Amino acid sequence: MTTLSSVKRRGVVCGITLGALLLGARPASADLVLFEKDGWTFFTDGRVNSFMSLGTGDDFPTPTPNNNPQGMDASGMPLSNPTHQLIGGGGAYFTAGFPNDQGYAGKFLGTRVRSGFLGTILAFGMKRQLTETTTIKSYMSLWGTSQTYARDRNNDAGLSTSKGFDAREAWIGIDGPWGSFIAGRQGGILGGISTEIDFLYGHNFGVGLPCLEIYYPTCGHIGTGALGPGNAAGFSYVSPSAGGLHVKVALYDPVRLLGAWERVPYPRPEGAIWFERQLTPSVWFKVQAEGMYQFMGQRGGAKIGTMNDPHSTDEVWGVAGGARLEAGIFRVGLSAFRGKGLGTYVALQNSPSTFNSATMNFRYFTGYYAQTAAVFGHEQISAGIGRVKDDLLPEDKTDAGTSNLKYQTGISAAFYHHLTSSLVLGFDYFNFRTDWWGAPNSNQIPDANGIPVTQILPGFLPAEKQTVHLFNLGATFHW
Amino acid sequence: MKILHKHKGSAAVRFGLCLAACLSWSRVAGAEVELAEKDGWTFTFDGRINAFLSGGNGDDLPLPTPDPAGVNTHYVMGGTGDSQAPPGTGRANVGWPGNYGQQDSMNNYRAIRVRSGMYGNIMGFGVGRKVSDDLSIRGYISIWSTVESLNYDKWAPINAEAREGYFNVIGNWGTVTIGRTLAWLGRMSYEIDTAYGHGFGVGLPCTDGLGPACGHIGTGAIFPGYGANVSYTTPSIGGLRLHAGVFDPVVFSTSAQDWSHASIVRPEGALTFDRPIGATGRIKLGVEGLYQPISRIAMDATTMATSRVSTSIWGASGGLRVEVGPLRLGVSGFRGKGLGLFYALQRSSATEDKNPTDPQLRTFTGGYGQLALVFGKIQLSGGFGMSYVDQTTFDKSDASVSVIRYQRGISGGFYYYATDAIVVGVDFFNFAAGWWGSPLVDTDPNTGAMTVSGKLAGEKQVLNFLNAGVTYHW
Repeated sequence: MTTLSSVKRRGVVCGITLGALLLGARPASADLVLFEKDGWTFFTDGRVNSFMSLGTGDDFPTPTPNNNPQGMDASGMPLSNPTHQLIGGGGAYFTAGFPNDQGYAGKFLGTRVRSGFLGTILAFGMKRQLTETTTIKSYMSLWGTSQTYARDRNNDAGLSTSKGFDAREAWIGIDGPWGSFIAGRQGGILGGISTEIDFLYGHNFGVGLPCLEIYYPTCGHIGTGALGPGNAAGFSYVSPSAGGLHVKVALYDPVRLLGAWERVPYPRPEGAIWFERQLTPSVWFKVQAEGMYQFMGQRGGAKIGTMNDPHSTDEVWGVAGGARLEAGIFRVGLSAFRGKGLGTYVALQNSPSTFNSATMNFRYFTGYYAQTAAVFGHEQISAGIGRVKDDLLPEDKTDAGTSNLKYQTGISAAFYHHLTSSLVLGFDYFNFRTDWWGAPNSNQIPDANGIPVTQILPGFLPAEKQTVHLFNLGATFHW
Repeated sequence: MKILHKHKGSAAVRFGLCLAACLSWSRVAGAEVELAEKDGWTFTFDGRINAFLSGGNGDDLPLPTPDPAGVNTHYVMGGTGDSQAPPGTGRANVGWPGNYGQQDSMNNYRAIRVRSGMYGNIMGFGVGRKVSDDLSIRGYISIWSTVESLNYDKWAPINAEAREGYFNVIGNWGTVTIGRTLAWLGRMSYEIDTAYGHGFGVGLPCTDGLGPACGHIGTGAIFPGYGANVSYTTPSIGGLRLHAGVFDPVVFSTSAQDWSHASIVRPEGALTFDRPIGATGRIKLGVEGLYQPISRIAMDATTMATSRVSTSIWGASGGLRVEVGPLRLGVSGFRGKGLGLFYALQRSSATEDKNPTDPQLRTFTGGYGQLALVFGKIQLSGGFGMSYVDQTTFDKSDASVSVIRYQRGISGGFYYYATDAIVVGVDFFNFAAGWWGSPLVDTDPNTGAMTVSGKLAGEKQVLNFLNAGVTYHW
């Protein structure tokens, strides 16, 4: 598995704008050095990949009909029952389920040639030894995808930003006996261990769940129990190892949630602590805990929502943790996270499932993820399972117009064959299931003036669900 | 200051404002890292990475001055009601609007970001070949990006930009440059800001939404912008050089009724004189100019007949740099019609008036002074600049908008050159903007005739920025 490390070491990880925190990962192999001259070292790394990706299963579901007993108006005529929408039903990105434009008669069948968990990456760096013990390094990575946006060739050129490079990382790192300091655009921290597990044991050379059917590098298990840390401008410090113990603290450019929580005057602190140790020549483990906090304010300090929540400030927070164990040929990783306003895919995700669009109150998210792998020489077999849960807010339970996201669940399996140290063939399967809570039971009754009003009844309508199977076959060349 | 000289002398000096620079591509290429030399080919790499903690505090873009009579309902140019360039585009326009949502209930702005400096993150690659003893060819491409994402949005991709892509043919008869490079008008002011002001700092963030930052650009200094061009530079005659080129033309609108037709290329050029003074001193003087015809279709309201109406964009600028001992001094100025506040030929709310039948380009004037003291590894900088916008005749009777009048910047900076590749910087920038105030127009109820009876007080904005960060360059 040494071929993982060139990318891994700098945390150039994952599909959905999720660089990963992998500084705590195991010692890695050298960068591909192109030139060394006058104390400067110029190096590169990167990858190109493409996968034939077949998806089949349910189309995005339609709302369950409201067949509750109808109320009657004053004349005894039945009043039509309220109807509802599904969260994610408008095709909103990274919100819920697997929206697509290829469905027919309730079923989805689509084939694409797409990028994998990591996109196409071209990265360069310059390194210089400042003193005997201190080095400085710069690194910039440019990301792209092999597929076009929405199967539209017009998006291949011209004004399209979807085929431009995404400069996902660009940072300076100073390493010394006192630790490491990084300034610039880099991976976040919260969710780092779950993404690391997915990358190392799951989908480094695979696809997993396409984050979006129409575009993007893919998600692996992100969105189904693993949480992507995202990328952001920031300053971070990692302490030197104290018997295997490391601490990382960082301050990041704040994130706003458009249309809801837009005033973010202070940078966002994130941090992690991890312990790793080689127990025997063949047994190694790592345990990591992470946290994040961000103050959020509503625009102009005024409250946007109209329901029973008078606050104009709030906060997003999250905690996460996980562990990795490698013993002989076996690899196993476990992780979990919980937090307020996090989102299903990446920490601080701006989507209708993250907060109630009327009150702006943040929902709570909980995720669990387990991944195992067995490595036999050039072959790797992997399997994983994960789930993320989106809790209902009190106001969600009385909103007859919406069926909110409940679970996103993923089950995966993969086989990888390392043809050479830089060429990997991969075949993977991903079962993606989404469950909604169902809209609260409701009907309409006349009020004192005879005007129909919605009446919330006990329980929920039968919950909607969607299951999609994805089969992905492709190759990755990396350096 | 070694690094500044290095960049000044390199084939590509860069800048922020969504703008990069080949500051002096005609000069002898300097100290990029030469990575390989083989079979007559030379491959070089240069660039930088930086990040700054950048906090701003002060007024958000002002609200319109209320009309005591309650008649006038104008908007403030650059603010709500101005559709030209809202804050969410990440493009500098007029004043300094905080990104959507960053204002508190008192219309104050206070926010801290981690952002790129006046120069973004840059990777520049050069490939050169010596064709003969007195002829060489060199190609160069630079890729730019920022550390911060657009509008505080974690999902927004960081779209890298190929800001420069050109090649030089260099002989003893001069240098021909073909491709995308920095233009000429405003180069001296930009060069002064880079060398003595904000080359390793932030200064004024061009916008709250996205960088790179502006330094003193927009407040007395004007950035030349980039353009595709074919240019020629004479050899140095005792330090004197003439630079002349033709650039891809620029238009200000996509509407045929507006300034959208530019049928010929734009000539731009400069005359520079650059000489050392003693062993460590230096003097550089430059004057620059541009001219571009531009036209639109006008329609006679009665006959509906159409005709082409032409005008011209023009600009003249210049500056002086002197280095004596630890002292660095630069002064510059510009004036021109249709130039814009931030960069030459900028499409913005300030560029033309709102006359629906006969829009006119506004005239801009700027002055900028920058001082620096260099003591070994330490540089102290201080600068002052102001850009000023003239009103057109129509502006003086247009009650719908308060037009920008000036943008002013006062800056201070401290830079520590920790090594020849690492610079730590702290800088302060005071930004102020003022508007002309909306005219008060009385309408005769009988005849409908309108007369200007005065004007409302001009709106003002004052913001302070404090920036601290580090740059690694090679």
